[in-house]
Amino acid sequence: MSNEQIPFHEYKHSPVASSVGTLGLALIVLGAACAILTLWSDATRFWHNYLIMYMLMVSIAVGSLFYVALEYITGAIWSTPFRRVFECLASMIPWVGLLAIPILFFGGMPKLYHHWLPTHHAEASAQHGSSHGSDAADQSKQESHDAKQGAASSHEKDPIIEGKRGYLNEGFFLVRVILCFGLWYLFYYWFTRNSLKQDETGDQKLTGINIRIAAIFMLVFPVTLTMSAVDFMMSLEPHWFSTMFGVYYFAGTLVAAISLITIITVKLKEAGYLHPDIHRDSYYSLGLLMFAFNTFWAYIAFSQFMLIWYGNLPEETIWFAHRYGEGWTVIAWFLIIFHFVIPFFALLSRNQKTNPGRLLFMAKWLILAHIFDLYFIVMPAHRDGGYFHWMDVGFLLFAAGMVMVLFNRRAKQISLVPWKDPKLSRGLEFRLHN
Amino acid sequence: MSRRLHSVVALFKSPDAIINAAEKTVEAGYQDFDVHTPYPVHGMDHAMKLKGTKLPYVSLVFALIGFIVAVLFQWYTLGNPLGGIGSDLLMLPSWLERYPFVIGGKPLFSLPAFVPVMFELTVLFCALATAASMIMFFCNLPGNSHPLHDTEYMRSVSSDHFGLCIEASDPSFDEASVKTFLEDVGGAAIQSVRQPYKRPPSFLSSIVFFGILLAVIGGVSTKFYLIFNKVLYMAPWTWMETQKKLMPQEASLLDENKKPIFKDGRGMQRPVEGTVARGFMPYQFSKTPDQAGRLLTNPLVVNEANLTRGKEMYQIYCALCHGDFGKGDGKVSNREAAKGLRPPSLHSKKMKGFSDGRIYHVIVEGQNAMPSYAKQIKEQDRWSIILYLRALQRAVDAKESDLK
Repeated sequence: MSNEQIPFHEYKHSPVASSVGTLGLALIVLGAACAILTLWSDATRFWHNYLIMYMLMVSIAVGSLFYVALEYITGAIWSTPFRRVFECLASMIPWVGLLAIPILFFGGMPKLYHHWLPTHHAEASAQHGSSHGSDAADQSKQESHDAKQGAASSHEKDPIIEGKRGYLNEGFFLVRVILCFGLWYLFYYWFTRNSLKQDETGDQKLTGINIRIAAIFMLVFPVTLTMSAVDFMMSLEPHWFSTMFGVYYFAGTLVAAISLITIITVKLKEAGYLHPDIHRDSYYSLGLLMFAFNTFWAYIAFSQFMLIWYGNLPEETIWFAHRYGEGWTVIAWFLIIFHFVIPFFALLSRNQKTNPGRLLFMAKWLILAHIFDLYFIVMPAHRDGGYFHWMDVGFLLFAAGMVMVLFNRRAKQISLVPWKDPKLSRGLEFRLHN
Repeated sequence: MSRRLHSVVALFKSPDAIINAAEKTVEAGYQDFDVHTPYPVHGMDHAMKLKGTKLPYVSLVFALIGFIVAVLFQWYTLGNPLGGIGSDLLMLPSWLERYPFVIGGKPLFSLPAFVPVMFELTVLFCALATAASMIMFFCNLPGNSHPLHDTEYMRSVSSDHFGLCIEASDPSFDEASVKTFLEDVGGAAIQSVRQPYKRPPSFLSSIVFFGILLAVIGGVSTKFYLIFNKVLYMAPWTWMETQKKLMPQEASLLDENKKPIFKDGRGMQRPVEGTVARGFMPYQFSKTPDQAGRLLTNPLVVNEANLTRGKEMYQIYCALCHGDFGKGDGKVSNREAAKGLRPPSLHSKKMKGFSDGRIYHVIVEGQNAMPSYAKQIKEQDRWSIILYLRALQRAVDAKESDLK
């Protein structure tokens, strides 16, 4: 830290840092224990919950990286004083990549994607996982169920899935996952390397370089995020397709990421770990982005729904048919109110966006809303699963703990204020006009 | 100097000075005052203790009104609010006519289809009301003058000075004390501004004004009429339309000697005798069914393509009366109106006895209540129908050898 003249608490040596780390670890252990219990009672539910947690972590990590790039490419100044919060959250990307491994290699695929996996593979993995007795029984039940539904050996003869085989196959799936995380980590590495180097050298050119990197990232980001959404969530029901699905997930991602950024920023600022000159007016922009992207989510979600509803084609409506009726009706309506109607009015006025207490409340609300949205996307694919189960909470605790530990780890390594960023002083002067 | 006092103004040199002065003015208890600066000064609204504008409330209220209007409008016009009672029964005026159309098989009141209209009307009402109320109530338009216009003060604050203006409408306003107060906070060029003298308009100028107004209104209306009713309907090129040509039901064109080209003077002529339309060969056995039965033979061979075609055509043209399997039980014959017109079974002995040519004759000429199908079914298809009919007859009365 070069600027000793400005008094502010250092996060690195603070008691909060260690307590956050401990609490995070405790949550990870508790969440994991809770989740593993479900593996014996309902393994399919376990993997669907795992997928929700995984997509939530992708949302937060990659969404934060998006906001880093957004600040550079738009030349935004209000967010510069707390850009390090975005960067710390984006540092979770490689760890989230590790979270994909259990889905890919340790039994997640046959539980989640048995609809499009070739039969021989499903059988092989059933034998592989035969150490759990109920697991194999589940699998065979699943297969007999499938056989009853369609013509014999429906897996191999399904013409729709055969037509998608060029994209939906395990090899290419793996390649895409590696590609996405490789690209995301590459861009994260570029951004933060230049950003941290600027702390030492004060070289203004580094901002210019990052702007160019951000321009490239803006092309890479939608493709990779759409791939993730399509691969992991849309392929749960492989007959169904929606060209808006990537945007739908993207909108939710932005809401979740900005909400978590808001929570962390406001908490750090109120506890005095960020630059002391940050004015409350900067909160307004956080609230504004939450409001804007939440409305964008509603717009996209409704557009996707209305086109499918109006077209009324069986292969498209099936997705909504699985999410409406049989008790899901209440959940679908609740999602609309919980994710859009209440936050829309709660974030409409300016006072709501500048008052830290209310902003924190709405940020927590919207994170829960995004989790609920993911639940609404993923869980109905598990047809025999029912709606809620106390075990669904396990992985959410795990995710919360993971965010705390990983954020804490990174925040202790770097300075939470980009001292020599050329936009910093203007960012601190950010005020609302009347 | 008999004009009413509007305000006392003072000039300041720097943004810091004006912010300081504004803060002092608030502290001194003045309420009706304003600040003029050549560019926006940060923190000014805070220094002046300005309350937030009320405009967002107008926006919110009108947005909600727009939303509700859209819901009610669609519910009334498209939905089924009157419980299926027609508006003619209720003797509603024509402008209250409803349009309960079923579109795309959706229910009359289908909310998802209404949402885009709800959204649009919300935005429309909100935007229009915000703009209109901002102009009318917050910017005091259509008033177009202000006592500070055309003063030395306004000239200065719009270029390089910062001005403070305490208005006479303030409850604690007193000209002398305000002037000393402004001197105390560091103002220069302190002046009193009076309401401008308003000259009543003369008769002549009123006449000229209304004359110009009428001319503008008339001119604009005429221009719009011409543009929308004449210019927009003018075709760019009309050569093809206006060229010399023969039209049906018109007199024949004239040649160089001003005589009609055609002898009878008509534009439309009968076809040459013996002309046959494409695809329609004349049928020579229309009066001699037996001859048709003897002389006509089916040119088609029995294969899958011909039988499939025959089945298709049979189900389009024949099955409606004769039934899918030729048993004379088609949909039409079951209707009340077709009572007594029950078509015969195609599996009767008489029908089986008919040769292909004889059936062909029935299709072309009709029989009893059956009209001619010559116009609907092409020649090839008639023969394919006959092929299919033979297959039907055989299927109902199969021989033992067919089962092998």
